[in-house]
Amino acid sequence: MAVGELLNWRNVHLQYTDRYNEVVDENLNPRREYEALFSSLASMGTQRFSEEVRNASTIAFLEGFTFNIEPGQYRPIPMDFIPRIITREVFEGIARGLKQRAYALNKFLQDVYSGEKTIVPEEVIYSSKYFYPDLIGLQPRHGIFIHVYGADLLFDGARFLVIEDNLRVPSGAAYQVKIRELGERFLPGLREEYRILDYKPWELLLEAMRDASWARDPFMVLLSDGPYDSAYFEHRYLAGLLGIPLVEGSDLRVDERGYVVLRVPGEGEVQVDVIYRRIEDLDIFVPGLSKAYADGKVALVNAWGTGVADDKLVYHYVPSLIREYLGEDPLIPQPKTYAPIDPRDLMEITRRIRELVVKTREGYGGFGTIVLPDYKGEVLERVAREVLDRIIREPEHYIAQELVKFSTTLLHSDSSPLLLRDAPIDLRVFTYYTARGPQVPPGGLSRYARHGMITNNSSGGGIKETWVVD
Amino acid sequence: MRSPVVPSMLYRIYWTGRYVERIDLVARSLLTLVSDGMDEGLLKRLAANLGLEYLGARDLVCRLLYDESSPSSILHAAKMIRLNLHGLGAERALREANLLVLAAEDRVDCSNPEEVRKHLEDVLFAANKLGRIIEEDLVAPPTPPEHVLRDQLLHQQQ
Repeated sequence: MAVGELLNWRNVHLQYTDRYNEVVDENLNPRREYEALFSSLASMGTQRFSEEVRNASTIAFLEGFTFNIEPGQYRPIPMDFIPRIITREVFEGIARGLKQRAYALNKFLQDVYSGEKTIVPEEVIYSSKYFYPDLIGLQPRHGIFIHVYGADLLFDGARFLVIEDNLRVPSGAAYQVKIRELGERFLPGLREEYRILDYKPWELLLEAMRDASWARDPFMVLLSDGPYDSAYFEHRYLAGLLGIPLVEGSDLRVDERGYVVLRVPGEGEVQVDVIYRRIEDLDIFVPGLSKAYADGKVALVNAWGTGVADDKLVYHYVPSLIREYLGEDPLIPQPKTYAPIDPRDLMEITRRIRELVVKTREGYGGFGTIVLPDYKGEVLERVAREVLDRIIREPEHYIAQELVKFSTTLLHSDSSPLLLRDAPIDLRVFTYYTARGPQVPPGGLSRYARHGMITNNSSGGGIKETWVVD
Repeated sequence: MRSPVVPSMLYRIYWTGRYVERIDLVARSLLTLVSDGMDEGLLKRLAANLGLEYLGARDLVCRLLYDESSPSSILHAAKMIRLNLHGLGAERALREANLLVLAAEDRVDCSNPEEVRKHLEDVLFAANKLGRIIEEDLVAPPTPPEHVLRDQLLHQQQ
């Protein structure tokens, strides 16, 4: 089957015609990066592609590749096997911008927890639910707070923009590793014409974890809250890649000396030097853990207290933080953001609420995000009124952002991989902060929206392979 | 360094084993009753032994096969096995657990003894296969390398 036949109007359904499609142009010709892919797909034959997609999906389900929205559910993560392709040159621009951002955010945390004044108003810092005054005066090794940073980016047809900084327990790196493994196993023919850069984020994560510890040969664990966590697959898979034990709160305890120890039945206890934590509430899972950290007896990745920089009100100030700390303009822009605590911003929000995206300050995973332009007519008026009331009542709990008309991709349809449709797509790129500075492995998690505009996996979004190619 | 076996992992292995046994027990008990023509007296005794209220033969069979809220049901036990194995990183065992869930989810007419019998045989087959893989992959001592086995044999012969 020729590329033209594959990409004709009978096989492709475009819904978001006002957005930039990364895969095809307005005449359904593949964009330059995708030409070889569609040639391979055409010579492979859609029938075989369809069979291999089904095989890969079945194996993924059987092997437990899941993202559970409800606790205890067993829900395979939606996947699409038409990769997202980014050139090395474009990705290097992203990486430079994220290193700059990681540096500024980390420096901000250093200042917050050493009691220094920052350009972020004190009321924003002190009112953050993730600010821990007990930690003032405590600096982790190498001054690194954010060992793992997940930035969410959108492409608007011309440039990437950062829409969120995830600094507490960002998830998703292992999902990209796993879907790549499935792609290599079941669809090797699609990648023959490309030189895809290796994506091994766990190697940098391991380096960042080692650098977090004062011990020479640290004993490290990954702390999970167990199989009821939506991202439990990732916890287990990453622990395997890192070659470290996956533990739960009940496996650890703080001993009489204040050190964290792992109970190993039949062998006694082993002192833990570094915990890669995939939980937020430390003391609920391991009583006394926060004190052990504050006493310098265990290193946490990410450090405790990073949530204050993950706060969406702080996001508003990141471009200014970059200018302040680095004397440079941000290399990656972010959509204009309004903080309702500023009376001028509140006036602007009131005037233009129907055009904006409103987010709760501590929301994550797509929860607490209201895209006002998604509503129409009377419903829009009602939602706008309600949202504005809430903002006026509690301005410190919200931000508003300009809407980004972000790009779309092509997916094979759930019902038939022979049919292609478009869907909005974002990109989560991970930065690992080691003693050498922030490192960005070439790749990231491409997430597409299955319904509406929200791409987060916890809101039902699916994932694609991300290829960074030469 | 090989990762140590931590308590939460042992806990999961323990419960996985118990749930496999439970499926085996419930499935074999039901199979016996189905083969004996679903004798009501025996069904009532089974319900009493499992702490369930007896509301008729069809109801009891359906609950024992599919009631996810009942710890006595096969489907509940199969899903608990999968949940526990999900946490162990044992891919082969998890694959078999998923096949067990699929077998347990297969709907049959609970008042049709032939359909029920066939269903139970499928479930038992999947549960037994899973049990064997759990033993091989998770709990059996590792097989010594061939040269060690050879030396052991020589030693025994001497």
